[in-house]
Amino acid sequence: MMIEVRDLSFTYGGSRTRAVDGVTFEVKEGEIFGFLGPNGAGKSTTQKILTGLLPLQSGEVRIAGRDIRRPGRELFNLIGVSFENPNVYLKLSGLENLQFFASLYDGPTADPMTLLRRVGLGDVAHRRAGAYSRGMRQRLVFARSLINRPKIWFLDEPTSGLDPTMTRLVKDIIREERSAGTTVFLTTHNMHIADELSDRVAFLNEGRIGALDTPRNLKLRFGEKLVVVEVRRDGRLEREVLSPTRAEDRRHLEELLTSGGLETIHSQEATLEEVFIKVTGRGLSG
Amino acid sequence: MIRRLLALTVKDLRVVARNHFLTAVLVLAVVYALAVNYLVPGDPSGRPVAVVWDTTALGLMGRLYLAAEPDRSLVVDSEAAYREALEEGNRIGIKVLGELVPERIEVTYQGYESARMRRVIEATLHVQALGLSGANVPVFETRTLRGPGAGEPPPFNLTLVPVLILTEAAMVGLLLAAALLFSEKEEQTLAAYRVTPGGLLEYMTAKGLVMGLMALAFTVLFTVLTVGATAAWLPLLTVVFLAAVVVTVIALALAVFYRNLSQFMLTAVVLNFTLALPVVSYFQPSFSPAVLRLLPSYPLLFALREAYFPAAGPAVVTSALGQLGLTLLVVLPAAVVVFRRQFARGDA
Repeated sequence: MMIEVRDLSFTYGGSRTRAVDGVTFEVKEGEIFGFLGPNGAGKSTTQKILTGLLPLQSGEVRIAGRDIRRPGRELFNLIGVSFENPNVYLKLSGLENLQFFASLYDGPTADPMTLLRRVGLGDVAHRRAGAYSRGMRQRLVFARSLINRPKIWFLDEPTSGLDPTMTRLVKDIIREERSAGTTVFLTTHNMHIADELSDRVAFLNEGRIGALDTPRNLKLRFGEKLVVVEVRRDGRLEREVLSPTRAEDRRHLEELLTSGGLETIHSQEATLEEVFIKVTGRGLSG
Repeated sequence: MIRRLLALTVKDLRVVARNHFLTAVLVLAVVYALAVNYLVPGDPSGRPVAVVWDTTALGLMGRLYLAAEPDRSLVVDSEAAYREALEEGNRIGIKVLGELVPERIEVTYQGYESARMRRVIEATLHVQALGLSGANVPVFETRTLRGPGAGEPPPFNLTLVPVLILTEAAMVGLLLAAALLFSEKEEQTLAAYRVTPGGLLEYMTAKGLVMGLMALAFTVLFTVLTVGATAAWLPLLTVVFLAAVVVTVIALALAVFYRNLSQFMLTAVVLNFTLALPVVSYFQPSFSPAVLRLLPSYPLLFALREAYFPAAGPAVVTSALGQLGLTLLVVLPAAVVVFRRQFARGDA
């Protein structure tokens, strides 16, 4: 296992409630593990503990077999962390930012210029990061997290602030890195990203894991199977959602099929967000 | 570790240069030098110019004044010139009456001279008149137990140079190091650094080195523009560099508790004031209570004076270096612990 978390709990100073409450999960080597939950669910707190930014108060965390209480330099040589906030040195150029971070690692590192080109920042490599847009800084942070060729890659909302083209680019890079054997811990509240990329997802709500499985299994277990039909009535196109599991809907569907007014018919599976709402009782945007 | 320290130092040097911190420090050196050279008097005692009207046939008193202090004496030869010369402020009139040698001396004051100054002037005139009239005036020999032992004491304006170096080194360490830390807190780059193999000891040492280099740049420029090239450069630069590193580490350990420079300012002012307290002992050496001598700025100030105006011997510098080194050995690990504790509370 690359990440092992047992009964992890954390309470911020001055707070009575636990930000993380008894969380347990494991992440296998080469897996993309989606950590899904709304803002304030405890996702970032968990990631901060896993990356050593917050101390371990209770529970057990092992990263690549190393106890997070005594991480040592070796652990930080193994991990890469992409933050949600574009935290780069604004007075340094994009290239200088990556060169600086590359010099902090003990092992071989990626070529900063190649990384910048990979995230579409090759043309502005020598421009100060302070002159970058938020999206460009976000890509710089994303590139920086790859500078040490991490074995375990922590991504916190990696597509935040990116346009659809760049979002696709980032998703492609995540898939490429996974194919190369990198383990990815993906923290997000974006269910589309989690659904597309994750091998398994954990739903986190109020510091606790509500469900943990592959996206497909979760949808099958918690989602309702539906059929969407488009019917032409009096020259107007009408859309109806029917459940094949309900007898009344099945009868209605047969009527539509025989009446000849049916124009399209599609199966519709539940989205991860719908499953999340069903499991936790709240939406992902809150 | 050396590679990481070098990378951090280069990065911080780039940041301070691009934030114009270095420019600001060099401009400050020039402004301080202009003030020392042209605004602060070499002699702040306010001693007046003596307007001497010697009516004796030999005019010895006038000659004596001109020979002794040509730039603070004005010899006139008429009542009108005497009155006119006294119209200007900070002048005293010395009218010498007699045939060949002074028999009577009339002193005219402006009215704001202190009683102490009047006593000194009158006593000096008395001795001078005695000498001119042929009386036996004893020969004076002076001996100084504690510096400056050799030669003339430095002009007052140049005695300010060590003080300004001290305040600047403290200021650079305090405010600029804190400003760097706060910008990293704001950019959240400190969190990005903490998930790398880079350690806090390297992080703080690099900041100390950069602030030390800034202090050196200030010291070299300021010294050349004021004292010239005559300072004992090696002790001077070593002491300044080490002092800037020590102050930087102390400043970082305090600044980590605050969110921004505005919140930190009061602490910075208090600390700056505390570090500047030994200036009192510097100008009034008889006042040096133990509490002042414990401050790292105390030996620093006297070591700086020794580097500029040698008098007490190299032990002053050696002692200061030892004290600063010991202070650094204590505050550096303490600062790392403080940082770790603060980060454990989630403040990155």
